[in-house]
Amino acid sequence: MSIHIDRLNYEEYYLDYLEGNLSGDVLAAFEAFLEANPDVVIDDEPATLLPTEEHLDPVIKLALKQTPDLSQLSAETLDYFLISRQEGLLTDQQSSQLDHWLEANIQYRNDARLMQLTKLTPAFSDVYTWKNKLKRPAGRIIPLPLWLGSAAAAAGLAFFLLLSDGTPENPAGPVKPLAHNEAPKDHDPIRRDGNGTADTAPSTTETVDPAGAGIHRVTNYQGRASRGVDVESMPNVDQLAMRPLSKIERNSGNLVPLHIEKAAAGNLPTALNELAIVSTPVSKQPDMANPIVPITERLSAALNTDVDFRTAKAAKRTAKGSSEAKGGGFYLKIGKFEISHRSASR
Amino acid sequence: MNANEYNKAVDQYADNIFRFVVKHTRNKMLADDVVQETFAKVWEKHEEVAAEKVKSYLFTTAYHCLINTMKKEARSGSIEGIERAGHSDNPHLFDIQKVLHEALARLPEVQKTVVLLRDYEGYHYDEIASITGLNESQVKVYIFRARQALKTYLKDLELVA
Repeated sequence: MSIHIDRLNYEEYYLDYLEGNLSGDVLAAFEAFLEANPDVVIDDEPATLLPTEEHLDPVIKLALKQTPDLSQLSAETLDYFLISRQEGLLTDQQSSQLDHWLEANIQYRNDARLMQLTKLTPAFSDVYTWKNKLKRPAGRIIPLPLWLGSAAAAAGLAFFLLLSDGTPENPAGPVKPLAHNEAPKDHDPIRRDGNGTADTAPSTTETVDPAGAGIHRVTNYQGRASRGVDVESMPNVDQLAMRPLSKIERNSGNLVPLHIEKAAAGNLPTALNELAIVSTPVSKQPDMANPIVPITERLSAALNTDVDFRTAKAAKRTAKGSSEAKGGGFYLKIGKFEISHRSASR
Repeated sequence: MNANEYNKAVDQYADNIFRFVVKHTRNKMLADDVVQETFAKVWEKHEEVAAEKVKSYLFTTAYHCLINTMKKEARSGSIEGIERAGHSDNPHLFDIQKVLHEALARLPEVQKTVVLLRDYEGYHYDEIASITGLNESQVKVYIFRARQALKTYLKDLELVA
């Protein structure tokens, strides 16, 4: 049987031919085809895989191992063992064996010394100077105690009213001072509780006028009972400068004016007439009243201390040029804290 | 981590981060920027970071910021070809550390990073691997290569001197 090989089917025979698997008639037919078609001849050099040489650094190869193997200690692997000792990977025994090897090979002792010098130490002079800019606010809002907030509100309110020209009158009616030796009237307004019981009884205190203007009698018309505090033991003042003398003042013999005394009218410049006055006769005291009773009552309850606030209308001139006998100003008391301002009456 | 712990971390590690970065960039202004960027990023995630792990988190963030910065700066370096510092001076009196830092600047970035984290901060191989994204074997190899290079540099200096 003859075998026909042509350009359409020669490839299936070509591999066998290259591998030497063709024989007999098939081989003769294929060789005849190659002679007739020299352009299809393939390079007959066999293709082979070149072996790759291992090119890994032996020191690096050793470094990949978990624990150093001193059996491989040599001049070529010395760096590995020196670095291992510097990295703390050698045991004391291994380190000692390395020292013995170096003593036997003195020419490599300098390598050991240089390897020890490769340890970097930080330059502590390099510091970051902008740490504060990196920080974030870490504070927390501390709520003010109620008493502090209330005191601040009262002080602010007093400052505000100080700046105003006049103050509303006490809806309960102005409190008129007693004349000298005048007895309190029964119909004088007294604050009562829900049961109609007066929480304070009218009490009269006497103060000594340092200027010798006489004894001023003060009657507590609107005494306010602080919770848990005996009203009668508290120095209540409903008139500016009518503060009862303290125990020290009373016993010292030398009464020290609480405020600046008023000079005789006309002897001082106009500006000085506006100074606060102390020793003014009761009959000439300006009307002082609490314009914010609900607020001061609430503050008193919240702070558990006496809170009092009084104002007086400023002096006004009449159409004829003379002023009414009224002095302006205010008085604020929170517990033991007192502040007052008084405009002189003309 | 709350704000107080964050501020405490600023006091404790800002200098360390700065030294680590400045050894890479050799530019204090650039290092300032990297430090600021690092702490800004940590602050953004401060609620997710545990206070006891803030140091490694800082260095990891600083490393990534540094890589991004260095890519921008496009620095290259190899220890071969470096000018021998101190060559003209008395070779017996030159400052070893100064020479080493000059050599360090010429190391490839990854080798520089692992050596600095190892020597400056005392991190273990697994910690360095965590920071840099390498594995422990790679960290060991880079450290070994870096130390070999530094030793060779010092040895060459002595031979020249």
